[in-house]
Amino acid sequence: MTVFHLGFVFGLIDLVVIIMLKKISISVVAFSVLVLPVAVFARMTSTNYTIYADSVNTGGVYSSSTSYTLEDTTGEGGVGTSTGGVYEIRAGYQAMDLDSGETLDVAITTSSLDLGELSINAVSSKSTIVSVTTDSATGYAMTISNTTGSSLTAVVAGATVEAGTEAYGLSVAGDDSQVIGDKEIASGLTLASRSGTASAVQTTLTFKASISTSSTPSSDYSQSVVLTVSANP
Amino acid sequence: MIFLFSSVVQAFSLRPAKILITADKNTEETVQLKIINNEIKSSIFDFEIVDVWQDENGRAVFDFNKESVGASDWVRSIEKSIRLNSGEEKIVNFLVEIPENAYPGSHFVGLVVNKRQEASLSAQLVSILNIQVAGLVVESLSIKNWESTKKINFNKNNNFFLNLESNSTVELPMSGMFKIKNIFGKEILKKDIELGNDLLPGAFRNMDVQILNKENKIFWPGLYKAETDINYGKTNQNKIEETSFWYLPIWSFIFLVFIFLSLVFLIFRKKSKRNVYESR
Repeated sequence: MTVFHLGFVFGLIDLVVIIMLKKISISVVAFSVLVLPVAVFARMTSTNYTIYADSVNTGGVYSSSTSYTLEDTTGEGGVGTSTGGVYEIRAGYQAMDLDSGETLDVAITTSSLDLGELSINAVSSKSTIVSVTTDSATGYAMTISNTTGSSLTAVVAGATVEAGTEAYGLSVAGDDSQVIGDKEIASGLTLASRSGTASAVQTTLTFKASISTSSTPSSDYSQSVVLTVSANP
Repeated sequence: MIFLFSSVVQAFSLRPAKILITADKNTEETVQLKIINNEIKSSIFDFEIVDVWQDENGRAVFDFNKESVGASDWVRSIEKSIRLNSGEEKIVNFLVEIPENAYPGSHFVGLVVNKRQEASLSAQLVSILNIQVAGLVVESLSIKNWESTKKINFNKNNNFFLNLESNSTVELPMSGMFKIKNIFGKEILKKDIELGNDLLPGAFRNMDVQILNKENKIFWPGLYKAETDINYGKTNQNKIEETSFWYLPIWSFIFLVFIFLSLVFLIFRKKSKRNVYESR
């Protein structure tokens, strides 16, 4: 379903002229009303900025209290929602609020982790950093949602991955870490969470593997791990 | 023995992270997500719809295995997948069809954005969609457990365990107050307690309420009552629960020993005086 913005849309230059001169010429108004209303979805971009759309109205104010915020507008014509067939039109300044929603952003620095040839004398490990940004006031959570592939024996709960013992697991470091010690890599494990906004908060995941003398020699293992990041509801 | 992951760096965003729509039964709504590819190469994104519930810490739990029957059946993505070039953003549409038999209240669904990738460490982002079906709804909360972790405290540090259950059909915003009262009912301590984000329908919430030594104004040893007062919902309802605990600081034992020894001393002295008097 496509959403259009309708209304009497001026060009940005018209607005600047009106604001600067504080004087509305009848001829400008007539020109705008009669000629420019055909302009829809007036997106304007430059190198650094984007104006998603603009509207003309008589006023509006942003108010806030401890618990609530309110952005109101008044004096705008042709607003409201109307539908026809598979199309819906949401007209007006408030309807243009596409980007006011909370953002969720994830970045993984290295998702190719090669633990190399395992030895009974040392623990093999590799780390990657997962960075999360959100302006959700309820915060976010990062969990393992799926694992596939073959792997070594999972590290036992409460134990650590140690040289000479067959074990595979991960540890998590960072301000938002919810994991203490080495853990089995399994679906449902919450790796990190916070109850407020996050700005590029980094969590380091370290995957570890070790083998014992009784481990199957000359075997290759690989695993696929899916992380799920969401805002807290 | 070789152990490896394979993949490349990945980064993407979605907006909004949470969506709320209110609709009548037997109607359709469209919701939109903006996906932004922040990688240096083009990527394909797939979409999935899953049911959502909430764990006892207030975090979302997603039913990726489709084990439950919920509102995810009402939602479908209009685009099955999209390709985004580096830095490109695109709006994707999801159609929500509210069935005739939907019960009024809040229904939570996860709109999953999955970057297509083979054998790797990968991430997926989920936007949480709250579908509020119009009608008569219920706001109800139970305090399942409220207790002191130690029934006898030798210092002023104290921990209490709180377990809440939502019997509502909508999410519940909550705020809490904690009070300590002495044996005569006089209020010794009052403080706000942080209960976290909204409690979803049918969800539980576990909280540890910690009272630190420096903020605790208890002085006299004895039996105290700890009260929790939970305010919840848009209807501003309250639930109150009490538990009791003993405060017996070390100095009270020393004081008791001192009193005991003093009594022994006095009795001994009285006895000695009597013996001297009788011997005269």
